[in-house]
Amino acid sequence: MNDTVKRERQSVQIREERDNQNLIFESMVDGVYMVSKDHKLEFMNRVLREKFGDRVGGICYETFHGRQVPCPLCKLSKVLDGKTVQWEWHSRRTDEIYDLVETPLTNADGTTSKLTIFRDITERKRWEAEKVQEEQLRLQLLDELERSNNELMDFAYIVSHDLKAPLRAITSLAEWLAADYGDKLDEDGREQLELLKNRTRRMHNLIESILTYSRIGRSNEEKEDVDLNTLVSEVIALIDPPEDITIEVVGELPTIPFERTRMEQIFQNLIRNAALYMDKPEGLIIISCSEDDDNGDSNWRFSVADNGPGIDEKYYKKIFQIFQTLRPRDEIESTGVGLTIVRKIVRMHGGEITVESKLGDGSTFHFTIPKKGHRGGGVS
Amino acid sequence: MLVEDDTVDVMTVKRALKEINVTNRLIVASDGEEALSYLMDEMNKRPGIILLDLNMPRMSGIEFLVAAKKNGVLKSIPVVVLTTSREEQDKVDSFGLGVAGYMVKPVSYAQFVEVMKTINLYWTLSELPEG
Repeated sequence: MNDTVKRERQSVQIREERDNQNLIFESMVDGVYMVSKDHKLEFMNRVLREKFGDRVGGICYETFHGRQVPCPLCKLSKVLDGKTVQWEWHSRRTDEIYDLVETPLTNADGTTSKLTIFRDITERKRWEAEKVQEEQLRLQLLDELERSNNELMDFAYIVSHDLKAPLRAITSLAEWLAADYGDKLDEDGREQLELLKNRTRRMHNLIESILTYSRIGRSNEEKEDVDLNTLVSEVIALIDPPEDITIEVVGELPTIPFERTRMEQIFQNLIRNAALYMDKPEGLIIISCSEDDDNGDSNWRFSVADNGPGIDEKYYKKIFQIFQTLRPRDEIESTGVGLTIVRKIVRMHGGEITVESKLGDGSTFHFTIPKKGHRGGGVS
Repeated sequence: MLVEDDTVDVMTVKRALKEINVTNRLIVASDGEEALSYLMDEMNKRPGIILLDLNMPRMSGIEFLVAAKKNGVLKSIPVVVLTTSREEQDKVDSFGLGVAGYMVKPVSYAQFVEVMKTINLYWTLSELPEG
């Protein structure tokens, strides 16, 4: 007697809970339905009713899939064994993708039904697939870019190397002509021979500078702590500027982790340029360094300033391009590669180089090196 | 003996040898095959030293070294490689095949004369086995 009352109370409780649940299911945007152990629909929420009509009492596989027999992927028996199953179902017919959660529910009469929640994830899946595809494409493009960059570097390296052999022969022949037949030539002939020798030297310099330029990306010199005070004075000694040019270093220069040869190349090119183009009787070149913390990333900011001829603003871009010079090569011997090399090194370390100048008064080259360091290499 | 395909390079060596007063006879072969067939012919005089270029048509310097070693024709003839190549692999291969020296051809003729002087000095002083 007591047991019967208890069971009656329990079933009332289950019914009430079920009513509450159904109320929640009604307001969901996912499709929800319930079937008995013999595939009979016991409940369909609003979403499914709007799509299929109110088919409570019908058979699930007939109603939803137009099938005569249960679906091959049907989870009913598994769920009735007490298991909750979550799975993804791709409908080939409609090309829609669903996330399904199927779970057992105990009814008031003690039987078990299967509750299924359908979530349409077609859009999300499509978006994810697109993302993956975009990412793959991006990586592929980067890969190709890097490969073609490397090929270009290798090409420049190999070509310039191969050009050296015939050039060496031309140089030797010109020297021998001058040595063996110099006295048989007249003034014009000797001048032409001199020009020939001069041009072979120029070509040699060009080839060497291309090799230097392409080597920047190839070699893997180790970074070390470079004391720039020592380095800059060594570079100045190497350049050996004429007596009428004074080179000053303002204050202390820092010690920074860098590839030594690369840092030498930067200062060598900037200081040599300043000395080479100097047009004042009392030439002055000033090297300085400051720290700048403008945008959160702190940088070393170096300057090489001179009181030389200055550069017209319209050439600010051009001077950094390879093989570009502003003066005829017969006046000032230059390959036009120096600043290109400097810019490449600075950029590979995540910095930038700019020029500021007043025609007639001099130029200042500023370059930055991030303090945090930069992984270097990659695509520039 | 000089194994070299470039006419101007042959001229360079001849000129440099003349300049440093080396009057020994110079046999010139323009590639590895020619050099090998000269050395294989017992009638020919054996050279005291071989100057070998690496980049040559038909049979390269390295291929020549391999073939010459297999035939035993290089017994007691020192080989000095004279090349434009600075490639590490070429150096490794050359020394692996028993060359006595590896010289990179300098750009200027004056420096080349210096290289030849050094080679001459060393191989004049160095004793070689008889035969």
